[in-house]
Amino acid sequence: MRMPFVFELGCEEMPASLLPTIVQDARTKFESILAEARLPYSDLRVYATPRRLVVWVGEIDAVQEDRLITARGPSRAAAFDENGKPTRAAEGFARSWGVTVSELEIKDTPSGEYVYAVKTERGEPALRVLERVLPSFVRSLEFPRAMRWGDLDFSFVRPIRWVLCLLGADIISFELAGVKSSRTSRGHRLHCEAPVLVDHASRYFEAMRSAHVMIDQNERREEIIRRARGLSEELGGEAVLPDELLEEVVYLCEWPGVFRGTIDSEFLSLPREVIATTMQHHLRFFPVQKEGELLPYFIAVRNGEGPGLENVVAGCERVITARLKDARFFYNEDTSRRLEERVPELARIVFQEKLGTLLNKVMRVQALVQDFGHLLSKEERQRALRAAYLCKADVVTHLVYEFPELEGYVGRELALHDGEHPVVATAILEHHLPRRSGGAVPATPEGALISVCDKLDTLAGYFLIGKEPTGSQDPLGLRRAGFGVISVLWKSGLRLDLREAVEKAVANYTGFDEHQRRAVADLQSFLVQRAKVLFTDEGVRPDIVDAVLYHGIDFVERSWRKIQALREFLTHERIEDLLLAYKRVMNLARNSKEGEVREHLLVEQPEISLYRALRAAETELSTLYEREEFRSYLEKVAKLRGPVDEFLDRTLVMVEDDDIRLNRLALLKRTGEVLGKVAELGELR
Amino acid sequence: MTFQEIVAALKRFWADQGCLILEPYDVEKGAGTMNPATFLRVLGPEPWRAAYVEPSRRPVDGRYGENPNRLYQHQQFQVVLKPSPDDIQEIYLDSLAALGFDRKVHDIRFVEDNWEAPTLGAWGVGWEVWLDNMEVTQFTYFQQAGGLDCKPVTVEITYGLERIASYIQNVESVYDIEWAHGITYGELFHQNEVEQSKYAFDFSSVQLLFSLFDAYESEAQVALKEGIVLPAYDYVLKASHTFNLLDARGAISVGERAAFIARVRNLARLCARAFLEQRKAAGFPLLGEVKS
Repeated sequence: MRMPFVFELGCEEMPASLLPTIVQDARTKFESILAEARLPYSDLRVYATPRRLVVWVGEIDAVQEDRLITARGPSRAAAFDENGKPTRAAEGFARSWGVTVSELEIKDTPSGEYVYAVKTERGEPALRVLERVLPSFVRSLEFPRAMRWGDLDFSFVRPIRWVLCLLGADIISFELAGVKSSRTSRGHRLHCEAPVLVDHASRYFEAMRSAHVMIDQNERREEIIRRARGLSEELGGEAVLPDELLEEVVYLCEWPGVFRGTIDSEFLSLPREVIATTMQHHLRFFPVQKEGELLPYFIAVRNGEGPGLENVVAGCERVITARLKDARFFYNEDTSRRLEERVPELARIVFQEKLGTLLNKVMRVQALVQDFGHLLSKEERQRALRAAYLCKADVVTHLVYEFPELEGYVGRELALHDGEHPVVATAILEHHLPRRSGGAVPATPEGALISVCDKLDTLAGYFLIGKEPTGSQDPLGLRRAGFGVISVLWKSGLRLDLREAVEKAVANYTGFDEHQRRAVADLQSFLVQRAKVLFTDEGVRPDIVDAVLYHGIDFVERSWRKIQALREFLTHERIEDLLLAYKRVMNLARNSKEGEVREHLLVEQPEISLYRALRAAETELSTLYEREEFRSYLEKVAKLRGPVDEFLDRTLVMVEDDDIRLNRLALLKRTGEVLGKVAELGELR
Repeated sequence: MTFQEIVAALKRFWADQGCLILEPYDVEKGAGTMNPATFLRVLGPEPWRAAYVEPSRRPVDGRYGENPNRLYQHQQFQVVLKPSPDDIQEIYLDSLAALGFDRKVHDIRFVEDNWEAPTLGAWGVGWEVWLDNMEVTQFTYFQQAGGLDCKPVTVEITYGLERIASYIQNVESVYDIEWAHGITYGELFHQNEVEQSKYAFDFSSVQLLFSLFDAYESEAQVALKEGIVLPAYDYVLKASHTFNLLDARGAISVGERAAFIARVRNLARLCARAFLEQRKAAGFPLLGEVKS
């Protein structure tokens, strides 16, 4: 027989930011608990609201599956005497497993023959099994920060206040954190006073619905989206519903009451990001826009839909008005001075104790931008230098002090206000990109160059003082900076030589002479690691990435092209030719020293043929390589297999004559270099 | 409701919940938490329930009296209950009802906000409470104070009185809040805001403050050595406030900051430990005395 099951853990308000992870964690752990408990089931669902974590199973077997137990006893020799009669040892063993001696089985094992007791253990009722495993399920849930409460020795994400647990109509009874499970739940905190009795697991959802709780987070989400869209359409605009904010709002209510409020349109003269940040980050409101411009409204979600909406709207409007007034005050203060006047003030902001002030940093970044200015046109170069000079100046504004997440946006707005070139303003904002992994990268070459230089400067500094990230910790965001460098170079097409840039970024710091060499090497391999992660995240086989990045990275985009080419070529009919030729050549060439091939020492026909084939191919190959047509390069170079095979099959390389031998090895070495120029093919599986 | 009526209503409500109604502590401090009635009493096994108003000074938040919502000094209504009662959220909602906020016609939410006071070696887990989207209360389950685990756990409820009063009285600026009988908050405190801001940002003597910090620190150490905890703790509070003044003056670099905080924390830890030892030596007199 199969029955529905519901488990509701009632808590004080759990953090909205954690609930998505808690839901996932609970699902995985509950699945494994049911599997371990040998309880077949179907239709497992996990839900959460601020006040409850719910596991609901549509059908669960009322009885655990039977289990076959096989226990090894004494050896055959010890269990039966010479007449085949069971010994006391056999009788004792049988008794302890609840079987008769005649039921004992003899099995042949690698260590000899042994007596076994085999029996079927009957499954227990699911009710009993669940009573035992549910408390450990709750204890197994993990949180970044758990807490204790009252006088209990129990920790959880927030205090547990009630537990409802039913299998069909029966209570699964156990105790958790001083709370006894029951069939009683609680409804909406504000709109349902009476306890909620649930008579059968199958009626859980309707019982909660009538207590003003919408259990299913997806339903709450759909409801918010639907109604927010409806409200914004009435206003002739569209609601801005970023996923992250939506997710948070979904977990901040048990029943979404969606409504709109108004702001004074005079605030619309503030930069869009200032208004949007105030709404989204500080108040969890959704802005409304029309053709990209904000409208003087917001859409908000309250918990529940009882009376008193006018109080809630008035409260929301009060708060946002106060916040926007503050923001306007700061904006007016900040625009009363030019951004460039603030740059010298960066001298009082410490970037890092050993690495100087933010002003020092700006100067270093500007120097790097100058070093790589040749990658840009003359106009671009001038704008990039200007933007680099201004890029940190907004740190000392009131707005950024109040809204740290607006760093960059404020710089852009103030630059525009000052009449700086629009691209300079954009580059100031863009140098912070990407803000998160997979986020947008700068669209202007100026922004891309400053972004890379700024991040490399940060990385170089921290590597010099031995603060490179270790383990899974990355408190300084250095891995993120590393990913940023690679992504920007990869996506923007900025042709910056990464090796050279790392060397220059490190050399820009003075007073760390003895650490320079190590920092350069460590930072280069750190960046290669970041590139490996990003490339494999694109679904590329790790061995392909390893092969291409084996000798490091000079141009990120070029490495990516090589990876693409190699990836395609692996399905090509000539791939075997290439790999075999490379393998055969490298077997001998790997250990050979550098040396020129001397033509007059080539005496046998196969080595002459190989040399000629190589010479004939080299010019075209190097053109293909320069043009980054790596796929054609691989196809072309694979054709060397014929001459390679013929040479290795018919010519003895390791001859007595030193000159001849070394010359043949040099020929192999040169062949190997040509074959392995795109990637270290030996890394491929 | 005037400001003083709000305070009176909260005092009456929490007195009915078995709280001692105490007075503010007379040393400058950044939060009601630093009052010994919270910081020291949350330690150890003895039950404790107390409520009081605490004027709290935060020099960096000073705005010369020009900002309608930011203050050098604001008034907190602080409630602590140890052990935390099982129905504390319900009790808290009832306290809002005592101020005229019927939960049926307002949106009240508990939004994650964990609390940490690095200078006290204290942290807790909890929420800010949103009343119609305004943060009106900080609600915290203490996990550690002075580096010591809190067991039983104390729950701390801190009402922002200015926020609540401006909502109840529907005024936009704290200075327009009626304290009582037509006397405004501005009349009482505006001059203080202007002058304290000027002092903290423009005129304080950095050298004097640095030397005061050192002096307070060594005086606390002297007192601790003699086993007199409460005077030592007074000097910890003074050192902490002096640090805040230096911070407002921009006199402490990012690099030095952590070191200054660590110096205060170290003293706070020693006071916490010594206080707990004293209570232990006295046989934890409140055990079994206070009934909840």
